[in-house]
Amino acid sequence: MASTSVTPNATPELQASQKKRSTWERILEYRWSYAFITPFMLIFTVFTVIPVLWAFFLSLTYYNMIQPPVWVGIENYSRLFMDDQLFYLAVKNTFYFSIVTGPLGYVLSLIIAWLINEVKYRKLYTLIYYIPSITSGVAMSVIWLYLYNGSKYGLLNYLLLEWGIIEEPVLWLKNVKTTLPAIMVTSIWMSMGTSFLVFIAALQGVPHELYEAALIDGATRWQEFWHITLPMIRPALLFGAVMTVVSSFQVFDITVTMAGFPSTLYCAHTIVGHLYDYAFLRFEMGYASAIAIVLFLVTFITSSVLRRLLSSRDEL
Amino acid sequence: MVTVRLENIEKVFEQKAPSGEVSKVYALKNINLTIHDGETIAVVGPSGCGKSTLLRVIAGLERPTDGNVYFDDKVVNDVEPKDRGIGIVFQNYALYPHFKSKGNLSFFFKLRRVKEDVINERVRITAETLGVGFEELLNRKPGQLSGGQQQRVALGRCIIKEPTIFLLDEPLSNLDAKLRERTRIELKRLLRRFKVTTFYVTHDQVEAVTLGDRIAVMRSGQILQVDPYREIYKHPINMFVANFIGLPPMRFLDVELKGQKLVGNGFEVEISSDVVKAIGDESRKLAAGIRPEHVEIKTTPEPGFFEATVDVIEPLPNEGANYVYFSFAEKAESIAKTDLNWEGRVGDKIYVKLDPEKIYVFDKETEETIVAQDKIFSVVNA
Amino acid sequence: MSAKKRRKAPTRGKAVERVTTGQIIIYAILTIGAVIMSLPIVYMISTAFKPATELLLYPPRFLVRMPTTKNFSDLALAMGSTDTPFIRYMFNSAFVSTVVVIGTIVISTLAAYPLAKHNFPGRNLIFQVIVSALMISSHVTMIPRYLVIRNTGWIDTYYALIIPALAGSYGLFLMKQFIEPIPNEMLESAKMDGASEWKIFTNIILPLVKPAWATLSIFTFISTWNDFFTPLIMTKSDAMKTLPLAMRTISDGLTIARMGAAAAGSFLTTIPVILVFIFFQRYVVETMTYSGMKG
Repeated sequence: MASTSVTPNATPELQASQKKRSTWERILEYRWSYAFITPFMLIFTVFTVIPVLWAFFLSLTYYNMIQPPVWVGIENYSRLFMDDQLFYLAVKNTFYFSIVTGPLGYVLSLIIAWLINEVKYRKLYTLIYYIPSITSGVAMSVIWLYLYNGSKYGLLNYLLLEWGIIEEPVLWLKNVKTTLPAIMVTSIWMSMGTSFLVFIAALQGVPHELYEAALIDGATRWQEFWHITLPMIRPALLFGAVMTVVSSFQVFDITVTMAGFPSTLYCAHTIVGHLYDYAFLRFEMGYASAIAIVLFLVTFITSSVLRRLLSSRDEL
Repeated sequence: MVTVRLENIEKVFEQKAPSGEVSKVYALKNINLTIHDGETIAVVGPSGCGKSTLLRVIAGLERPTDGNVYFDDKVVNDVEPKDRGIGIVFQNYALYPHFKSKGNLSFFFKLRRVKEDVINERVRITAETLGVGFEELLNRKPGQLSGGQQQRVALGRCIIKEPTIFLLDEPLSNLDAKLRERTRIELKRLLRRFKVTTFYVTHDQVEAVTLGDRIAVMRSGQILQVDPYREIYKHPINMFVANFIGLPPMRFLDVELKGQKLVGNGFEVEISSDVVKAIGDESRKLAAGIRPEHVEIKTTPEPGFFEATVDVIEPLPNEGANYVYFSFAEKAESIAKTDLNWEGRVGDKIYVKLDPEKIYVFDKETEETIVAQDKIFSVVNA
Repeated sequence: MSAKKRRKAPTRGKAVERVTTGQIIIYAILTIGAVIMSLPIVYMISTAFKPATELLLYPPRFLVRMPTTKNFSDLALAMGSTDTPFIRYMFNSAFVSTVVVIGTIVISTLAAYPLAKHNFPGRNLIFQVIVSALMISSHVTMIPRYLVIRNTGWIDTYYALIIPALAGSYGLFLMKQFIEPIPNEMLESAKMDGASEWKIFTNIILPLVKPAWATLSIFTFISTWNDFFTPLIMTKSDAMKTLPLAMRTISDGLTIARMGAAAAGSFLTTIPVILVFIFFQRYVVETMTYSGMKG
């Protein structure tokens, strides 16, 4: 719609000034576009763009909110990696958590989605499996607390005692060895979320004639899954993997609710927990920002690796 | 090779309306059909008539709610599709997009862990059969192929298994006109060569006529008539078939029996006493029809010819003829065939005679044929 | 194929239902799994209505025999040291979630329109920036956001909980995906008829985009309602807490005796979301979840 009003034979200066006018003209022409995006851009800039940049900056400072920020260079990072035992514990816990719940939750979502796709009553089954994921982690953790209660009143303890599997009630959420695994179970229970829905949608998107052709060619259910279904839903598989990894690195609310803060010997201390600790309990904003940046980098690298891995598989 | 027999096949679907009401839809009703060994049956009908459903029942992709499917006198209702020895080409080919063409062809064998060299040999033979240029397609994925090329691959996938039955579901309908012509001939050549029992679904008459030894006309889940083309053209069993088969579609004229004549709006036809007897009752509501080649046109009045106005002239150079659409009066229209030199123009007055020996008479209420050219159908008088 | 038109259930995605032992096994697995998945929620509902006598039973009972609503009325007291009635937390959650949903819909739809349909200077740049923001997890921005909010004096107000959440990349992308397929010719002919951008927006774009609002509403509502971290750092006083925060407080030092009240709290935190979801999900176009993953 913009008219190109540059006369071809004019002198360079004339052309330049004509072009510049064009850009301003264009901006004026699209003034409505700018008007429409202003509310969004305003909030976005103030609350996302600036904070992102600020976060990088902050991580290189010492800032306790009482005094103005003091530049410390990479000292925060060196302290984080050299001196902070708790951080390593947090990283270890978070990784342990992710490595177990990530793939397990992912595979489970995929299998259940596939099973549901094979039968009727899809909407109902999908609903039942999906709903746990939209419950508040905190609210449900409270219930799991009941299940995991360390006295003989806790349902799990009661059942295990009855069946003779254990002799004394176990303090599931206090015992250093059992805390994280217990929380992992809860997490997996809640993990059939967006990825799950994406799997279901992708599975339904496979043209059913492909299945019919495979049926006529004589494929078994497994062969059909491996040769037809999986390749056809590749984008969903990638999406699910990235989502799962990213969200599992950020676990915090259920660990805090179930294991307390701090948890016994920090056995359920996570990276985000560490961040929260330094930012809002000790008010060391600079250091906490460094933690946030590290978390971001870890997540980013992992998802990039995943993307690389899942996008370049060979085909027949 | 196999003889396929369908006995009293019925297929019902249940449909749930948004209100929760469940209604039954009869996709196939009372289907009885025998496809002889080596024969090609072309099934035609309007959309929704059930022809694809019938194909799927033969394939085993749908189980009939009633009735039996026989392959060579053996009931195969419970036999899995993969064990029926069928080769199928779907309307949109259903090629596996993530396999190359070669992979598509060999998937069947890979599933059965056939040795690599055996597979390659089979692929080679199939490529030869399908003609020039097929090898080049082998290394490309369906996404990189044109519609026509995909169709060839789909065909290849069908024949490489050396099936005993071919099931083709509108295989040419996604191709453009020129390609369709070419491929149709190719297909005919293939079917001739393999002499495999074939069930061919299409909505295109020309395809049906070219490829089918017999044509089955379907409507609303039922087979109305199964006969070679000539026979259906000449002796359709009801108005629907008469109109569906034969181009351009037959126009019907309302007529009444008066004595020895059929009287319509602005015209008359003298008919034989056999015909009069077949019709029986003068109060019967009748419709008449005629094929364009049996309509005589003169430009000057003559006895036995009735006045009509030219509505549309459709020249068809391929056939060396014109189709002249004319009307005796309001709502009494028909079509005549003339040669290309005919000089009439739209709006002209012409004089038309309908050949009484070639006329069709239908019962307007039941839509059944009473008389079709030289054949008198035995009709129960109303 | 003609058969496709008439068949409704169950065959999208799978045309042939194999009735074999394999199928039965699948149903068995799915059903048992479904029961297991529902257990915690059933347990929650049951415990929420358990009278004190049943809470302390040994052996512990799963289902409630004599339901009571006393736990709900006890909730206020169970909070202990504060004067804040539980209703207040519910109000906070409901209010904040609703406003965020409405605000997000408005702002995202407005912004998505030019991004989808107008070729204005800077469009690509802005787009790139928004896409990159998608990759940055929320925790990176939390601390600076906190500082920004502090500077505006919005700490411990509704503003802190609402305003930052309005400019979400997900919402923007969703709406953009929905607006893009609208034929440009439609907009051009409206322009030729003399319609202003605003008229085009309200009369053409908005009606066509409504289905996406269901999806956006659900997901925005759920994520806002369940959000724990944001209220955690943005609120100080008890009166401003949202339900997840309140539940966290309850979980601290939880005893069996107070489980009834706690479960009642969980009930009130969880059930509204489930109901909203079930209600809205019939309006959700399935393709939405599918297209979301292209990002």
